[in-house]
Amino acid sequence: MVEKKPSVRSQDPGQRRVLDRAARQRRINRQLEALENDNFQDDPHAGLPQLGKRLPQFDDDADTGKKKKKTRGDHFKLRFRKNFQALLEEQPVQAPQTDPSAPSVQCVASPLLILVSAAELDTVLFDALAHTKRHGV
Amino acid sequence: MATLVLDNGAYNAKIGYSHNSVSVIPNCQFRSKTARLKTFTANQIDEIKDPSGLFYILPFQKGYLVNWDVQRQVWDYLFGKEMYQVDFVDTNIIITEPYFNFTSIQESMNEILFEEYQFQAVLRVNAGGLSAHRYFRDNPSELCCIIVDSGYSFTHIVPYCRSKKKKEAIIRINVGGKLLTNHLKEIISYRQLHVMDETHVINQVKEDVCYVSQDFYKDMDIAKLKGEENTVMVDYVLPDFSTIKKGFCKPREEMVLSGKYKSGEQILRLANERFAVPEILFNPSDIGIQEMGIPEAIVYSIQNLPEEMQPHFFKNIVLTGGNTLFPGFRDRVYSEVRCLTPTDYEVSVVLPENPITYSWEGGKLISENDDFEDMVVTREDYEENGHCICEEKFDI
Repeated sequence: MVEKKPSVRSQDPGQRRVLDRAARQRRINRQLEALENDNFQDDPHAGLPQLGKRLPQFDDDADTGKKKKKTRGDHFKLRFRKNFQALLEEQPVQAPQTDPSAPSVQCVASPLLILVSAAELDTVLFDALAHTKRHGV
Repeated sequence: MATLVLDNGAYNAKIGYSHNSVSVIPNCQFRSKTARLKTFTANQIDEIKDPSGLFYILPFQKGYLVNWDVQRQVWDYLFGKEMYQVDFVDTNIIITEPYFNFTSIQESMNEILFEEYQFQAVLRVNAGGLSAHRYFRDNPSELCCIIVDSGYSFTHIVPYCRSKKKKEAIIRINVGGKLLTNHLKEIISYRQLHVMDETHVINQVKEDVCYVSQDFYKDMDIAKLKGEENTVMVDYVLPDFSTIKKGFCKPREEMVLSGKYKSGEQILRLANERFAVPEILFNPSDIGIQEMGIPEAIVYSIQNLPEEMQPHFFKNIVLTGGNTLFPGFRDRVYSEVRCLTPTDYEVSVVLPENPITYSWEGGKLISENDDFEDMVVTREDYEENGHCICEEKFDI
């Protein structure tokens, strides 16, 4: 018989918290959002002093269409840097005439698991509401 | 007139002229804490001597192109003199977009391709559409196929009938390679070694050691065994970028099963992580995502289509995207779909030789079609008619 290793989890009742449904759901949401991160660490260039304007090098193309790109660059910076949440919010507003039940980015997410036992049903329904809220459906 | 085919993925860009071959190049920028002040674009990652703690800057968020600053920098590099040297005035471009792409992103794409880069003609299409085209070319007698595109951001299950996608049956599962790598980073950090900063290294670990289990609980039992009997366990030697440039698995004979290694290498001992991570594609509820896994979603999608078409879809399931490269993926999808399908239906699951470049190959074939000129929108068309002609012609 192998002896059971003593658990490293704290048995002290003061340190144990019982979470309610909302807290549990918040935890899950945070965990899932963490899985969407591009990086865990901060940008290594953050906080570095800004470089002064580079002196023109001999092999830079100073005149081929660069001028056009410069003015365009600002225009694009202002218009084209929305984040995902902003795009999701503006989508239904943009096309009110299309059939609201037509497939769109919101409603195409994979449905919930179909096989649930009666005891789990309550939890699954709650999770369903949270899921739709979380994914903006 | 040349045609550039660009499968613009959230992780890799698959790019090449249709008369040449395809290259798979990272579609992002990198920063390294050792090489300060320099931002590396796309395949310049190969120039980085010490890619530890590599910082990723991606143009895509949740699978949609939101950061045009970064995307344009990557495209400037790819289209420029160091790479494809595109002569825009004389070049057509076929470019892919995700399903249900936002209107504002589509319009930005039009503006950037026509007004900034000034391509002669543009075809915007879903990557799955190109894969379907490729598949029907190899199987001309088939009328229907269902494309599973499991990539970096998410997985889409898309039925195609005679080259048109069945929008009402498309399913998206919010699990992709990015989530798998992040999850692997988390569980390794929790169990053995803090690797949260090492996305690049752990992504390589995932690609080297992970596989899809054919019987999850059986493999779990094996992974719990000690010593020689645990055939699932491997020791992965992490790269230190001075003597060891690339990580690798220790050969079985050299593994020290009890006690420590004498050499100075950093070792990760992986057992159930090897198959528990890709299992998320089959059971997203493992980590709290209340969605169906891939085989169940395939069956659900097909069952939402007219009954007379269903057998045709079951016979033509095509797996594309990087995640399908996990060993055992195809067999597992087959066996689960087979279990969920009536016995009188034939089930066939195809994994192409290169699932990453399969859609690019479809793009190449489309560019060689006789009616290719009718499919594209030329710059003149766009200048006269604006966005609406693109909206009419392209089926995104």
